[in-house]
Amino acid sequence: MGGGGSAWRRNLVGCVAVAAGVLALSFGVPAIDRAVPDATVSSTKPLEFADNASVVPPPDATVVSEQTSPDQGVITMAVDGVRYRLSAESFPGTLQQLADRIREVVQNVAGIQGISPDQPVTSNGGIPGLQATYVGENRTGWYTVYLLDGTGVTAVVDGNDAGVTEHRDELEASVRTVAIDRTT
Amino acid sequence: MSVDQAATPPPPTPGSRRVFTSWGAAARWPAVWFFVALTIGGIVILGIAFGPAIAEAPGAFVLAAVLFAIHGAVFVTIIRAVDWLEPEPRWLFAAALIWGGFVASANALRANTALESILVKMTSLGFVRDWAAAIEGPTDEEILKTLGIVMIVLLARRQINSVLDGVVYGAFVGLGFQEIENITYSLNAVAAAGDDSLAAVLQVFLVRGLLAGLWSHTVYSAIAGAGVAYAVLHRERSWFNRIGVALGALALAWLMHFLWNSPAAASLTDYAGTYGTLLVLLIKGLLILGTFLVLLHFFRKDEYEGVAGPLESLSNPWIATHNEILALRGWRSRGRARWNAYVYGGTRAYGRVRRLQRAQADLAVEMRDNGPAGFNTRLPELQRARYGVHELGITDADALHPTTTSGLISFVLAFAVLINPIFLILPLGFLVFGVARARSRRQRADPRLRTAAVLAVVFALAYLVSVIARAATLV
Repeated sequence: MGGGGSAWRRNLVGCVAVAAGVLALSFGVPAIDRAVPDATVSSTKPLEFADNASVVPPPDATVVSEQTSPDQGVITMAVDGVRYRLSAESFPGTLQQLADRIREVVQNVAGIQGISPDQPVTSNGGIPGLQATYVGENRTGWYTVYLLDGTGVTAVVDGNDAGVTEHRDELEASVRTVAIDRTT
Repeated sequence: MSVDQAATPPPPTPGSRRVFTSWGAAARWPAVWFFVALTIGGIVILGIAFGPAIAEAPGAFVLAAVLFAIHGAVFVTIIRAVDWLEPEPRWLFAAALIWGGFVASANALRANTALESILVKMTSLGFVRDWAAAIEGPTDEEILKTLGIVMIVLLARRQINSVLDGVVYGAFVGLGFQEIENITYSLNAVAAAGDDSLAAVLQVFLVRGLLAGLWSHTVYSAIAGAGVAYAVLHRERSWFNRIGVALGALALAWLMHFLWNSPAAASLTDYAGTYGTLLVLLIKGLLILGTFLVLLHFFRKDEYEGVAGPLESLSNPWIATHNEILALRGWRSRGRARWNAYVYGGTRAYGRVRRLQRAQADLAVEMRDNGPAGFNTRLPELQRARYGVHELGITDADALHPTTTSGLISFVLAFAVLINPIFLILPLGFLVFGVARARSRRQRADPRLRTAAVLAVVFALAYLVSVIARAATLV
């Protein structure tokens, strides 16, 4: 099968080219992403992580890009291995309902052993919020929720005991800088 | 990439629309195995990504699957109507849908996530928020879908006989992508709502299915498919020309997708409210759809001329009269010829003219592709169809038609159904009366009577669906 063999080989070459194109996008682009270092962010000026919400990041924070979705108002930062995730969204309920929702999520994370009751907090800009601390197996953290004019911001700090303890002050300071734009 | 005719499975026998002569023959071609392997890979990726969401909200998933399956079926009907002159094999259509739905969408999911991550690292969050969708979607998705069209060529090169064939396969790849993406968007919306919410699915269906559905992936990939078909067919042109046209078509598809996803004119909508936003979306969509329809007109004309030429060359009214050849041109003219038959002799005459038209198109395509051998293969079927029509007294199954005042009034009245479905009775009444009068006088009836009745029924059904959707949302 002289002609047939040639056609078969050309078909194979074409298929390899198509598969290479698919794999280049499916695996090549993620490989490039892994090769590019995470971006550091300024700890002196507010970072607008959603259309109408901003925060001043803690010192030495980098943006965890694969867990960040600006179009959905989600940003995840890392400080020395501690994860710091903020999300902004339209929320029609009350502040307590927003807190209850994130509490349920945290409770369902494997290894979580206890959560403190919600405590009222206020941002530097005067936005009312609720905060609770949780502990788990070799990890700890806390969540804070703010609600203003139907926009809810949820901030979750999560990491190992040593990391969270070491950076607690700067992370708490950052959480208090959350601002929600009233005009939007 | 150049795909030669020899690098594909052997030609089917004249008159056959089968892609391969047998399963054994199919298994000998690398394209089949590559297609299967990449499809399995795509299903695994989608299963891992959305399996938990489906388990969390099975009811919403089923509703989304059913709604978008129906939505897709409407598109399939439209594409098949465009492809009527030379219908492509169903298995190849299925392959195109599968590639778009499972291979392209799954791998685009990975590539889009990574590309957004790169953008986050290299640009500002504000830039990503505004432009990520406009950059990621067109770049990853259009390439992956176009690779699917190339895969269709590798599976069955000989089924690509006109630029319109590329448009059709491209449309099917895009449709598969579009519907699976719609289902995944529904699952995301349900997850965001926090429960097995049917309302979130209906909202996605309204926005992505009805509002944005007409100028989406189906259109983009159809354009890219035209470029691939051109590159495959025009072997007399230089390699540079063929690849240039294929890349140009891909670039146009990219541009359309970019236009739709881009935040351009978004600032206008900030001040224009909901109706202003809808207006901007409508303008963008009509621009995309309009460009596509203009191109489609030329592609269809090209295919029609390829089919009409062999029939005209016969100069044999028993095979096809001049008016019948003209009637084959488009779905409207074909429909009018059948309508004339229906008015003349009822549903039996309608069916027989449809069969004659099918036989004429098949014979012409076979003559174009296989010469006298193709003619001889298809002639018996055409003769049977012609006898059937002749038996009813129809000598010329043409699409000539009158334009009447009652047809015009009926058409206008169809829109009254939008106000109240009770008005459905008016276009239906005009239809029954018009057909009865035309039959009694042995005349033709205005086809707008039928169009108006169909339109009125569609409006009435839309009204019914909106009532059900409203009730479901309230529940």
